[in-house]
Amino acid sequence: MNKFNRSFLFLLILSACGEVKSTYELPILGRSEVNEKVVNGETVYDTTYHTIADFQFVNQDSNLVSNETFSGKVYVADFFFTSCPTICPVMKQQMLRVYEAYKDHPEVAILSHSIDPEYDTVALLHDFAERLGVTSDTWHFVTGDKDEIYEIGEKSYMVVANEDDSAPGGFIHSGAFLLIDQKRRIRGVYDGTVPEQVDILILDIARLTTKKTDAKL
Amino acid sequence: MQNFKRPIFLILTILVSSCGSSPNKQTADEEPMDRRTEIRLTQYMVQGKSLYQTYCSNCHQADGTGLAKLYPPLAGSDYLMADLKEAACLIKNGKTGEIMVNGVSYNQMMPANTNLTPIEIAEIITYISNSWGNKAGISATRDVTQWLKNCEDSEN
Repeated sequence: MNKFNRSFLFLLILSACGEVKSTYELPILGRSEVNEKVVNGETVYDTTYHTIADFQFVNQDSNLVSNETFSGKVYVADFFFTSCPTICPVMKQQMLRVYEAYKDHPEVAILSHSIDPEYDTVALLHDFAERLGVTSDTWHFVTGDKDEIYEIGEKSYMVVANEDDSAPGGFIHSGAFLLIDQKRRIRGVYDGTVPEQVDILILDIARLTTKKTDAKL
Repeated sequence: MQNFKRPIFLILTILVSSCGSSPNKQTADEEPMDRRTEIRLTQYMVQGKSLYQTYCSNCHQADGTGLAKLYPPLAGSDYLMADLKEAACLIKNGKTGEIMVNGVSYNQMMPANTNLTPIEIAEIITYISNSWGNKAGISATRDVTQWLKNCEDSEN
């Protein structure tokens, strides 16, 4: 999100007193391909956007979570681990704000991937979610095959998630929150450790949902 | 040397007097703190705050309130204030397992901070035990050094 976008948004908020205008379209991020085709003698261009690949993980209630879980929904994805001493607690505090704003909204969900899935078992994630005071109706904490999690992080969400012995806690990962739309496309990347960026995320979610919300910052 | 000391003292006096709401104010029934201790407390508080923001506030938050039932509060924490010696060991060596803070159970691993020196731990303890309504006075480096030697799982 560049400065222009931010100040534009700020103006919008000012002018609309908190109402989100639907005229502003969020960009579709990632590499897209344009294919040229000839249909009925006319040349048409068909754009293929970058999308999140198929995945299947297990959440804190032992339920399978896949792309189907988020069918027709907008979701926010991030990467963390429960024993992380550095940025995760800050990210979780900020994600809790997203959760509070949208927990009753049927079109919005949150997907937090553990990058330490061997330690972060289903039972541990269950305890973690319960202590945070959140339910899997909206917020999924998932564990699964480590390589699959790292791969989807890198290739689909385009964030860093890896083991690194030199990092505090033994893992290195991005603090990004990614906003994914109903068509599995990335529509925004926000720094989950910066409250002002999460303010923008909360407003941007509303741009992608059809049901109006009274989500407050 | 004499010429040296005066400006430093002046600066410290300004520092102390400009922190009118700092927790070193004395109430009538307490022994008044001597000037030196008062200045030292202010130094500890300033250093302690900076160290706290680096090493502690991610989890315990800048205002010491913790996060939900994951990370326990330090502000008004019965667990912390009951035993600052234990707090010193905890900061140095970390802690696993369940603890009760103000009647609520917490069970999140606290990482060790083996790189912190006794004076840094003394400054952190002084800061957290004299902020957000907590009031325990100074935890001197000399004392904290001794506390750390007595930690159960200490390597010292």
